[in-house]
Amino acid sequence: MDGATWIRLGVLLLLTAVSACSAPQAWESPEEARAFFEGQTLTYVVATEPGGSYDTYGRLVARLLPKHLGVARAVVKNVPGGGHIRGANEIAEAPADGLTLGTFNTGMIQAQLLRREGVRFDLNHLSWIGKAGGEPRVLVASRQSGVRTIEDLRRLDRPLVMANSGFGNEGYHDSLLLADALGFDVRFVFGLPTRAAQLSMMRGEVEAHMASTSAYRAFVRDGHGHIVVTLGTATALDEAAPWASALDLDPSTKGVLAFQSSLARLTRWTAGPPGIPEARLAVLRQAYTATLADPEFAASAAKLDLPLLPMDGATLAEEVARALSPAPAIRERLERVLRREPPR
Amino acid sequence: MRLEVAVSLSVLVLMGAMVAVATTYPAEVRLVPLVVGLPATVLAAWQTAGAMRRAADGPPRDAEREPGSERRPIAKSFAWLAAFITLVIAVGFVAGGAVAVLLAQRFWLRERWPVAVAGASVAFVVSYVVFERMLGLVLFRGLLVEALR
Amino acid sequence: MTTGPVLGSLLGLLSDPLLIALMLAAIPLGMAFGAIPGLGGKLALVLAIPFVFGMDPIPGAVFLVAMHGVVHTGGAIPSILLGIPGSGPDAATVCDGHPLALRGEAGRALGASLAASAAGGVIGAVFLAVLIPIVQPVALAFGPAEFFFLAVLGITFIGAVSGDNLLKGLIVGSLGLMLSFVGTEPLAGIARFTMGVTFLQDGVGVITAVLAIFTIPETIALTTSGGGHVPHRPGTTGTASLLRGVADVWTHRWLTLRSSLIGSGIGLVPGLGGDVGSWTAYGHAVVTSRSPERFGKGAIEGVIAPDAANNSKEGGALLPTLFFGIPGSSGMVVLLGAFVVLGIQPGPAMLRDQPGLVWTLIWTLVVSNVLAALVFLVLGRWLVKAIQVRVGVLVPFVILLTLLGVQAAGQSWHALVVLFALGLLGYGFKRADWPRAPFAIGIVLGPLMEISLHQSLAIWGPSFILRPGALVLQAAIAATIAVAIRRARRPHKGSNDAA
Repeated sequence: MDGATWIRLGVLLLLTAVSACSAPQAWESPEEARAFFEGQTLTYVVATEPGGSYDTYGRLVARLLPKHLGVARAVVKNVPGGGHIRGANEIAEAPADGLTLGTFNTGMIQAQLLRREGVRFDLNHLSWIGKAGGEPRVLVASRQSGVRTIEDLRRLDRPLVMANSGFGNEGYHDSLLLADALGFDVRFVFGLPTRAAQLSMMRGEVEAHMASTSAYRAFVRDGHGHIVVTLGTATALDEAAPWASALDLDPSTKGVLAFQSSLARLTRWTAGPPGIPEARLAVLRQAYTATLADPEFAASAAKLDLPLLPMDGATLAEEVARALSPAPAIRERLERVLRREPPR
Repeated sequence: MRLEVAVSLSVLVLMGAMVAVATTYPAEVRLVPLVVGLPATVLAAWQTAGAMRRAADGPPRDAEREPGSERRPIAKSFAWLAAFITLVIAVGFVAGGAVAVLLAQRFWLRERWPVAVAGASVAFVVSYVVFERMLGLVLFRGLLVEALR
Repeated sequence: MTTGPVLGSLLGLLSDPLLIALMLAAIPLGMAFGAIPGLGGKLALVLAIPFVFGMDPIPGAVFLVAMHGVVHTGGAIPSILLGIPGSGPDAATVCDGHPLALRGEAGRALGASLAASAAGGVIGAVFLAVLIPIVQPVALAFGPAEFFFLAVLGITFIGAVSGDNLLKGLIVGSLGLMLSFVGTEPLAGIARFTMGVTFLQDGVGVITAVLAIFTIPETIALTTSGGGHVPHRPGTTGTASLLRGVADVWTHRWLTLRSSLIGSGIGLVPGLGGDVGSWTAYGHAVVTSRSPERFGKGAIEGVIAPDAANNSKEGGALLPTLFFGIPGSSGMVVLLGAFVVLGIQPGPAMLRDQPGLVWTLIWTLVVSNVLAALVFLVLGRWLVKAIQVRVGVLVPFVILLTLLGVQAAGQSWHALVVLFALGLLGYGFKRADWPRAPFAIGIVLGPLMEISLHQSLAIWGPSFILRPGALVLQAAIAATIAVAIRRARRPHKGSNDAA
């Protein structure tokens, strides 16, 4: 080889060596990855204010994860705002060393698909650790509304007055897609999170609300409302209420409802920023799975009435990827139904 | 009087700008801002006109002074406040807060070095020990630190 | 209702060393969380939940209720001494509490605050006890229409707290309202007045705005006044001055009672929030005063009214939380979660099935508020001495705590820039004699007013104004406006720098 070639080879070797040295974690062994976490502080980002269900799940994970991961402590950082977009951005833009994880809602899938303002993350590239929730979501109608079945909804000659906390969240998407699928119209009254929505239903101001099963257990039991339809695929609160996935509808509509039901299964997930090294990601996933399997976790979750439907990180990553590549017909439907102005 | 005019004009400009921007929003989104902002802009304009007239008519009125006291310039105080905030934004609450307290006590408010150093130590304890370790609140690390990470 | 569970639970509370110890541990914790800006009762509860895991229901509930019930007792301390509100509801105390401290009457202001807080807490507990049988219809009587007019009523107090500067007060109050509209509008998800800045999509933030308009100007004024110390009058800082403040609460006992009832009533209605209670009570004190021009310059009633309301609201807020499982405030959301952790199932059957627990919680509010006042009385002298350090030592810590308050309230670092900009404006208001209390009223009540208007229109259309509760409130609004206009037309009584 001539001199120029030797020089080029030398430069290439040098660059390779520098790259290797500057990213040592790329070559980490599992033992080294586990040792990395010893004594460190992990930050767990929750995309809501303190005190709600995401915060409760998140704090439970943060309390028990150190035992299984080996970090000295896990600290919860609340980053509310933008309908979880701000918290999701914070997680996505954190350093990829494995010391920042967090949780936000599945509405970010639609936010990404619909390219909502402010989104700076790509869910395809996040490091998925696992998920803890997945209870079904229910459409509850108040006793005063007179609506008990889907046929009652279809027979309405006016929009159903539905409560919602705000534009663009999970309940908003579920409500619009269900209404489109089942053939009724919706008028939203915004600014009503779950508790306020329940009071509003009791006062006869709004007629229905879409929320998680556990949020409505007591409300339905006390006779203030009925479950009209359930979205999701897990244990039902009311076995008599029809599952959206079991309804006799055209294939395209069934496809959209199946898509939405699949998202309902993925709630209370935990993710880290893109680029966490493989070995550390594996350690994080193992520790998370062990945390959810910890008897103390299950006992605390039961006490707090938090349903547990765990899924490991690898499977979750596949599910998220699938959700982000819906069939063209489903994507078109999402664009058409979810992009419209809020019905008044 | 000039201060009165400056404050009135600032509020008028801010209010007017918000009203102008509000007119570009859809109907239900601009409703309440316009219901509040339009009359308020009119009132602010009236107030500004009155302040300008009073400033033109009468002699400048000095701000109240405590008898026998010296006054430190206001601009210097706000400059130091800006510097304090800039330090915290740059290097975070724990480091930036302590350094800012040290510099402010020593060079702005003319305290002695031992006092300034003690102040910086207390600031560190408050930020790191109380807020971060005891309360578990993750304080902002600073733009420079986050850029280096 | 028999007296058995009522008196039995009081005796049980006072004779159980564990319960006494838990209250004595909870009280300083609650006061500390209230005193450190930006933290607040909600965060205290969130951090306390892991500690009550595994406790028996009564001790755990006593600890949490005692801690949460005295948060605003602590919040008044930095409000009065440093002009830094511990949380949004404590901002009303700054208006008159801090001027009192600046003219050397910090002890008196603290004494009035502790006594008003204790009285408010006790009255709130009594309110809770008395209203138990009728809680459901009362809580259900208030909906968006009533919320809207309550917000408008609160806003009309802008006129009252503006003193002789009605025009300036209306402008400043409107500016507060307009700034409350900055952010993502909840109906259509459109970002308003954000100028493309992402962080502003979440709004300006009440804590940031209040700290900017009140705390920054007072702090800058300290540094520019040239004096070496915060002013104080000899003989006004010992226990005697604290007790003078306590006596002031007895002198103004009817105002204390009315403010406590306002706070309890507002706490009872889920969704109104603590800020509404303290400002409504403050505005009520101004409207009903024979010499309203004193407010904003150190009127002791300006400390008594909001502090009584802040503590009484806890009793009111416990009502829907305990008997409905519907939280009366965001803090109650967390308390409700904590109750579930302890195995307490809130609901209408609680009084029937667990009368002992219910009455124990009511007595906990009473006893913890009284104990907090005693703790405060003992600490008061040293607290007052704390601000007698040199301005050069004090001011940088005030600034640091202000910045920490913004951060602790969940805001990003950009909020510090907003704090500076609004602080400039706030200083301009102070120097040019513009009232600042209306700004706080505007920014606090703006979101409630707008969202409840849209909700009312969505549910009933324009006919929402004819609902019975709405009509009553409209009459109250008209009366308040009439009083404000009549006072504005009275001859001027000298210079006015109402806060």
